[in-house]
Amino acid sequence: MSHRFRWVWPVSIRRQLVVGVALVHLVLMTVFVLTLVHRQKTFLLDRAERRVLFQAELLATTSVHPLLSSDLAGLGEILAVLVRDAGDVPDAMVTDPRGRVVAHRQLGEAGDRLDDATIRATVAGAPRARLVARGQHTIHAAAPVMARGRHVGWAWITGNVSAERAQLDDVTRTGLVYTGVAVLIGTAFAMGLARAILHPLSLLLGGTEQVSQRRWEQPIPVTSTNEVGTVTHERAQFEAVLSGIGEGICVTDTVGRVLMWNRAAEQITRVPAPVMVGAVIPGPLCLVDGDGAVKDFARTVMKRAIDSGEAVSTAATKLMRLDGSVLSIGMTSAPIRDHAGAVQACVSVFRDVTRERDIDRMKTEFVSAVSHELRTPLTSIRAYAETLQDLVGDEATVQEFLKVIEEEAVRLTRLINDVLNLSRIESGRVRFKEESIALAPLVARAIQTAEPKAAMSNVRLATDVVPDLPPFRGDADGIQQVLTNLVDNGVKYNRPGGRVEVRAWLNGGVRVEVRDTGIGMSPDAVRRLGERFFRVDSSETRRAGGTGLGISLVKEILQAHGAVLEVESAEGRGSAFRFVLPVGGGA
Amino acid sequence: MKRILIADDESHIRRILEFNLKRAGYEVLATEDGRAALALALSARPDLVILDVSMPELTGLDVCRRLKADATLEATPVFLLTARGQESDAEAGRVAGADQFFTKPFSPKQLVEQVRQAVGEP
Repeated sequence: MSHRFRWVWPVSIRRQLVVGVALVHLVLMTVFVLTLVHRQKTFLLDRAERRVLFQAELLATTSVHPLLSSDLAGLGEILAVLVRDAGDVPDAMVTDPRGRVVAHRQLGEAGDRLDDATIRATVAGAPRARLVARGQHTIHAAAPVMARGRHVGWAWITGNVSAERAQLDDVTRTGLVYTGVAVLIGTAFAMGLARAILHPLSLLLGGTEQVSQRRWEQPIPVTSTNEVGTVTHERAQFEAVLSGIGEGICVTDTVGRVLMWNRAAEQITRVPAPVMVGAVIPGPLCLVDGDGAVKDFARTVMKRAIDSGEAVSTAATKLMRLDGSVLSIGMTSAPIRDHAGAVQACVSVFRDVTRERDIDRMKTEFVSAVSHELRTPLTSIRAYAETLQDLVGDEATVQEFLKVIEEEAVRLTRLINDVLNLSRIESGRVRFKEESIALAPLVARAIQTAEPKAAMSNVRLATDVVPDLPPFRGDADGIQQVLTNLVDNGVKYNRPGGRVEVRAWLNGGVRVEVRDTGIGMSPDAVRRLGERFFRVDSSETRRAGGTGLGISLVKEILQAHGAVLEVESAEGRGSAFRFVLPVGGGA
Repeated sequence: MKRILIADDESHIRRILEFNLKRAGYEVLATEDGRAALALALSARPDLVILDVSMPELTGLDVCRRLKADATLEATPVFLLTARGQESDAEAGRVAGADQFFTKPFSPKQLVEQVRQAVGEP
């Protein structure tokens, strides 16, 4: 319904139903009554006309003799009988063929006499019985008086139709009364129907319109058993599911006003829905994330989800309850779009991850402690092996074996470092900075670190970093480790005379590629790359002595920078690792 | 002769460091806890101090801080050894005024080399 008609046509279903049914009744009944009256009128008037015509013909027949014998008294008597007392013939007369009155009888003053013009017009026509005029209450008929084929005069009858008129009026009145009654009954029925439909519906509306204000513990009453009841039942089930979900659910509009706050949300935060609904996040909640207390909506995950138009998750938010207990909250916020695709609200699902975080922290601490404890004996092994090499002189085998002990100690150290780093990154304990960093010095340092090993394996190192590359946004130490690991891998899994090249250029961000001419990987190996402790299994790789954690670390660090590691590899020809870092302004 | 003070609660590590430094020609004093290290440093006036970070009584960081706060010892180079090798430790070492920072396991040869650079030939 267009807006132009809104003011005429009611919006509410109740009014639509009542006005609609009343209008339909009114129109149908009016048409019906009009048709009925019209038919009745035709029937009654037909009958009256036939009667008057018959009376005129009767008068014509009975007037032949008196007219021929000029028996005016007889004629008068005939007219008197006709007009006498029935009242349905108030006027009768007999004229000669030219319309001159021979005898005339009239009941009192009543009856409208025929005007002369009609009489003249009638007698000018053919001698045939017919109706000559119709008045409001009278019908006039004329019949020729014929004596053996000779036209000797006219018989005129004025018939009264008042009775028929009265009857018609009666029918019309009755019809109107029925119309009124039908409209009344119809409207009453419509109102009853509207109520029957709309009462449960209004209960339901009360539920949905103020979905958040109504206590979810109180389910919608399902009273009706009809279709509305079914809808209500489904709605109630839907709400029961929403409120029964074990995860906290919070729906906010785009400015952070809470529209819905389910039971689990109440239980987790200990803040009841009536307090939260209508409040702007964080409202009464005491939230602390990695950057400190969350004081306004702009700092929340929800805002980020609304702005980015994508689901955003966080695991690092703490919530302090009124009683002082502190929880870790894991939350995912996703935008809700309208049919046009515009973000109009945000739904967030959150839960208490305190226990998981505790376990995670314990795991990290355990890994950290174990690593620490492992280093001490390793220090001894390495130090003694190294010192022994100085002491044993030129005994080649002993030198060789001691070298192996020392190298394995170094490798074990690297493994411990990688495990420790990975564990810290995974647990979110490493906070990557967001700084504006120039890439070239990091590349130079990675090359510098790999230089001794590269020289030893006869692998050439090259860089091709576009000059004037804008700084990227991220963590210098993290990206340094990524580059160092990738270059180190390139050297490790290479062949004598091969090369490793680091290239960087600007293309949708700072695009970095580390390419080697090494042994390459099979498609299956590329797929499995990044699995913990996965290494391309061959004698060559075993000789290379990696930990199998390097790429995992690279992946984790890049992920924290919002980047993805792309791998392209051909077995026997080499591999290329690529990623794109966001270009960042500011400091 | 240049005198080096070593403090580490791990006897094996103390032993191998002592061995390498003595072999290089330095005089070595070794102790296993922080408090003794501090006392020895004040009494024996070493030319360089090597401290393990995690020691009973006083940590290497505490000892380093106190040495650097002492007017007569503040110029004495201090090397720290740590088993954690995390940035926060290195940062704490810098704040405490340490001159060098070694993450375990380290190469004794390199350590001796650094000692030689810091205090010169024995």
